[in-house]
Amino acid sequence: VGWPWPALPLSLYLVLGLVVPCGVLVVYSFWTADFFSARPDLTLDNYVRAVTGSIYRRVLWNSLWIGLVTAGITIPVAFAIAYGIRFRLTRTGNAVLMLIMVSMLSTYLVRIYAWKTILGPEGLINNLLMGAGLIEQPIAALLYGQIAIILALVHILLPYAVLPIFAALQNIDPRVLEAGRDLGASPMRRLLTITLPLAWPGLRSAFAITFMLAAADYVTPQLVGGSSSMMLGRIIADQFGMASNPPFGAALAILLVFSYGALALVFCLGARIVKRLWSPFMRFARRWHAHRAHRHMNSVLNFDLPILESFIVLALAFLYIPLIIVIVVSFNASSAGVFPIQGWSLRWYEALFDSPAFMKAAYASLLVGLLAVTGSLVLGVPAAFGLARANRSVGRWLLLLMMGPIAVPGIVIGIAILAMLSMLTQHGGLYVTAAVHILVTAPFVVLVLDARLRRFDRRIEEAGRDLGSSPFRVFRTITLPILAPTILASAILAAALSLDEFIVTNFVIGANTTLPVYIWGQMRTGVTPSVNAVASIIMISCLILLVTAGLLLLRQSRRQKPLLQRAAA
Amino acid sequence: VKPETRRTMGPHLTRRQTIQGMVGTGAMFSGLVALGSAAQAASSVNALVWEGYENPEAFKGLAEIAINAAYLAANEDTITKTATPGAFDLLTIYQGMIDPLRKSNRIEPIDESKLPNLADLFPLFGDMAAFKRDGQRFAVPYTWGAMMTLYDSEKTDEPKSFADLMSPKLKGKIGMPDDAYAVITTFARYAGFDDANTLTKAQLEQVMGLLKKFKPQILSIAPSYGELPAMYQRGEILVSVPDWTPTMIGASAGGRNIKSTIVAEGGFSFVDCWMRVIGAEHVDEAYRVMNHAIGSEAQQVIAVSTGLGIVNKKAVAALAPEVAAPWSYDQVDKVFSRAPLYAGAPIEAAGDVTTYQDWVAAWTDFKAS
Repeated sequence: VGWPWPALPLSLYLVLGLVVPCGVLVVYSFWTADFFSARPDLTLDNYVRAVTGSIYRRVLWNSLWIGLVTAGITIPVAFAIAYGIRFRLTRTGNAVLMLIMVSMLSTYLVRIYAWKTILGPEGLINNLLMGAGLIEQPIAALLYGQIAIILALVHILLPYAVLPIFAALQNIDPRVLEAGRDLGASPMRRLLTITLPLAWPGLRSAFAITFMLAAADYVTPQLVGGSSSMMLGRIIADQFGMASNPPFGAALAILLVFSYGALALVFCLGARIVKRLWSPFMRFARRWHAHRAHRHMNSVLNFDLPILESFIVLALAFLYIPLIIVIVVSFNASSAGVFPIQGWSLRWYEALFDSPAFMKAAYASLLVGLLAVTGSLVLGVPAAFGLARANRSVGRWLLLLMMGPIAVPGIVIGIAILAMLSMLTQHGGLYVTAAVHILVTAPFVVLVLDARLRRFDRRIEEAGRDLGSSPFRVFRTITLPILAPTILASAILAAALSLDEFIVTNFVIGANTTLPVYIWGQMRTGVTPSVNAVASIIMISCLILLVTAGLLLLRQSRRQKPLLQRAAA
Repeated sequence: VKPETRRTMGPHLTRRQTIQGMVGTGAMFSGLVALGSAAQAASSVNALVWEGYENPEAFKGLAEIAINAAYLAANEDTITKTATPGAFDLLTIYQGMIDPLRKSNRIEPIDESKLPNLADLFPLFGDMAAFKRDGQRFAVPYTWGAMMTLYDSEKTDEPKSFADLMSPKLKGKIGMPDDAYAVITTFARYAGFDDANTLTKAQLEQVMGLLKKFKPQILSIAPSYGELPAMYQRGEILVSVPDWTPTMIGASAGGRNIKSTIVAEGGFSFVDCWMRVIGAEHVDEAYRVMNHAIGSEAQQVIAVSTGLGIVNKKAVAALAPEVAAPWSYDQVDKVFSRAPLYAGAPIEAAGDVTTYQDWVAAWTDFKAS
């Protein structure tokens, strides 16, 4: 335990790649717009326009409202799923968790697009309702409006919410719940007084992530929002493109971040009030949670929610039906991206591999992915060591910095880097994109490794040193081999994230094209099932990567058991 | 140390696994290099174009030059995406973008002596003043057409006037592209302004007022023209305005019968052109691509694949009657009467006249409203 020097390179990288660009964004917001550029004549006009323009206030409120509703729907659903995986699905829990992670790694853009196929006037839902005789005319309001935006966002963000809640639930000792039951607490009381308060950190993180990502999204409203559901993210993105007013876009982004801060303050105050109201229950829960000497284990909780398993099946159907439609439409013989398809064909896959533009994009994605994985491992692995072995107060600040790229909305990262490049009269490109991908993926490498390092038995290293090995030899022959599968798994996760990254990439890619940018181009210039084919290829590639990672981790845990038994003997 | 431990790289990663990993990584790098070399051609140009303008069929007579195409989603992409010198050699865009592109220092003059096929163009297009500034040519015409009203002829009657477009039956059934210039020019025509590109502040407000009145009719502002055929295919819209012929062709591929019309208030025309990007790295190849693009072979292919008008008179002579009919090539001098060809919105403020920047700001506010 000490100063975490190994974390220094990544910390510096994050300061240079995230903190400095955000600072530049602030400066840029005071500049004056010129014809498709900006000049350093300081002005407050951008903020005056942003704050006094009733249109922008209304759109900001609309964005925050959609963020709140999305988080309000997503969090309870995610909690139910995470609860089920943790406490009910003892045998299938891991598989369900894996399915949820896989859905997260399927192409973000095409998932939004799939909702058009489902919600459109001739889409799946309208066809089903009309087929069942429940309606005579298709319900047009399903698509192009807030309903479609919220549904698509819940679909995209649900996996992001499940993971932190599940992590928080993992820290709950089932004996605490059992104790509550033994003391006569009803299932609802146990939920309200034990589970929810103990899961609060995870719920809070999940809510923050879901809310911020939803409120700042600029792609979903563009594809399914219709003419009256504008969100601030789209206006911000427009300022860096068609509207050619980057300083105003920067001011709007700062305004959005300030709104987050204001809402966070409101929530913190609200949470304090709720906590005070719940304090007797909290004390009760904490007392039992601390009672670790209790040796009786019973993982089957008498918390009877008979519909929970069915609910999880429905949630998985909600996550997977759009993905299945994406894959099925990629085999459509017709050029229309409609469901049901009009015949089976491989023509869109053949067309893809004949397309120089696709091959160029695939090459760019692979190159960026390779650089991103290499960079995120070079910086992330030492940082995880530093973080795991730092003292508590330094570790907390480090963690805060390292979670920055996850917590800051992609659109803010994208335009902040774009603003910095513009100020330096530089432009985006493949290498800039790779550098940004390192920024975005390295925190995930740190998170995965940090979790493993916290369970790492350091006595093995001590034994090596006691037997006369040098620190380098201990690292090379003990630490690194034990961690190798986890490092590989985190590399695969980084590769999958890089392959699918679009929100930030779209701002910094310059004149090049990665696969998600290629899909975006296809969507904007004419959609055929070839888009579904690209998405299916990415999805299956990610699935293969993820299953490989899962198998490696499983293999490691199987191997570790006899070793530990031998060590104990 | 036990013998089996010595053979390994540690307790969990054997030497064999390490070698397998190295071989796998090597294979991945080799694949990457192979893929990269497949994606690169010895002789190539980088072009920023509307999708379909680089149709390989049209350029098969120029097989020695690979056209690496990136696609436009909006007119303004020609400025924002060409900021890095050398990223693109060529771009295609309508003639009204010449001044914004020049002001942004994005395009440079074209040497006519390197384009022998210019001699085969209709004189109207070959000599058009709209393509020149200070006596120098900045654009080579490629296709032309009118921004019209398209409609699904099996589901709705032909709209003949703006009043028809405001019909309650079309409420929430109209698609519109995210194109500030095309939409404002079209609605300036609907508002009765003949010179639809020279609008005073009051006139621009009047146009935007008309657009706001029209907003309930709009289902969605499509991110680009390419989304409109898909919206027809999915049965979401019955009408699209302003729109162009490639949408008709795209929607027909999905089984819809889409027709075009110019409403009584009029429309406007455009000529899409090739332009040379400053800092181009493949200058000779760029000239050869431009020259081929206006040659008879490429022009015939583009006429069929896009449904747009073409500029090469020899190519027109070889077109099938049904392909040539919509564009009245025998009266090509008079085709712009109902849908005039404008110079584009001004980029410099002059008196009370609104600029291109004013239009874009008004359009952005309209979308947010």
